[in-house]
Amino acid sequence: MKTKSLLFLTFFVGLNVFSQSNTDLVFLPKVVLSKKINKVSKWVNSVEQRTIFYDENLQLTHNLLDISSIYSLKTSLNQSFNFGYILRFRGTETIHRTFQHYNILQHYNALKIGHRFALEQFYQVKKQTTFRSRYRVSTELPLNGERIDVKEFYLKLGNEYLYAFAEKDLEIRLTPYLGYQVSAKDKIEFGIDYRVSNFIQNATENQFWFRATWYISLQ
Amino acid sequence: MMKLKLVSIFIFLSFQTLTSQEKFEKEYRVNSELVPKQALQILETWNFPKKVKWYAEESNIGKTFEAKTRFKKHKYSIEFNAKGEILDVEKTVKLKQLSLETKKVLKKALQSSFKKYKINKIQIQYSGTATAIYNKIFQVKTEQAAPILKYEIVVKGKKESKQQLFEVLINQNGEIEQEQKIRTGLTLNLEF
Repeated sequence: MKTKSLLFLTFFVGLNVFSQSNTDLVFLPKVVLSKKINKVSKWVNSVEQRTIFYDENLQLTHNLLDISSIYSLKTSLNQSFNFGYILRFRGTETIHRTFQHYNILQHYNALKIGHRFALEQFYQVKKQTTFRSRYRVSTELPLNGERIDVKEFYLKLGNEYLYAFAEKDLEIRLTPYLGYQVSAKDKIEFGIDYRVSNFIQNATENQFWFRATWYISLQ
Repeated sequence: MMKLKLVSIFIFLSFQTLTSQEKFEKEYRVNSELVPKQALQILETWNFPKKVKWYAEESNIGKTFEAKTRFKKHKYSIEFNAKGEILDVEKTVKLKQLSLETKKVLKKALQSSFKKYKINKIQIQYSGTATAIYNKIFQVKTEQAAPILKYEIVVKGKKESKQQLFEVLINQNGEIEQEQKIRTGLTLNLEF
């Protein structure tokens, strides 16, 4: 319980620590809540916030908020299809997004690998619908022993490729995270979200974000 | 501000639901100094050519130690109790490495329990005295009794409608002695 409270505190108080930094920082806290519907399907909801810290006047702004709802259908022991919707609030804008995922999970002794293939559609008032495809591979490795037990740390490394059809832009993300299995039903992860985009057009953009995600499963 | 409040409420409500008690189970790497002397002595005598990694497993039932190594292209796992007495040795094999007769026995046993199945992993389990197990692994010809041989198989199996992962222990007569579901753990973080 003590560790839980500590993590809970770190999750939010961490905001203050980052505002002390000399560089601009973006913090992405996210909570993913999953609820089992029946033997083969679950309902997954998440809230994600993008908070930007400015170094000059220690100003804190929320630059966007994502609320998502996903219906996930398990087609076999290690494969699933997800159908989802994301509502994004960015300043005064509201962006609607629908998406379809196909997931494959592989398990090798200590290592777990997850593949996610996705198609996304973005809808916005007075703007044309845009499309994006993405592929992500994530690996999870326990830091002690061959299994992640409760109250144990693990490493999660992710690599994702996103292609926006309209902009003809490829974005690559590298995401090293440190995870902690809080209980059999929840995990928390902290790490860097490094994104590189626009390099096809020779206008490379690099972004370093700090991410914290809390995954909760209600059986 | 309103948005932040909403997020906090959402998180707070989620947090409230996670209070159930859990079964205690922990597996971790250990240094050989922490391994019972008797177990270490057995491994020293057996003298596997490759590096041996030690693991401990604690649960409500007790504590066990496991040595893992590779020998002649097979993975070996040697399990001991807290006193350092040998419990069993498991050798990972491929289906094609088993005799036709054994394959038939295993197939019959699995077909009796599952509507549909796919074998993920096969381990030959040897139990008995340390000497009997040693003689079997290192192919020492002897008049002494052979160890007890069983098969521990991980299958992706379907009993009714749902496919699940099972660990099945089958003896040489093709009887299923034990069958348990394998928990895959929380994989939300690899999917979403």
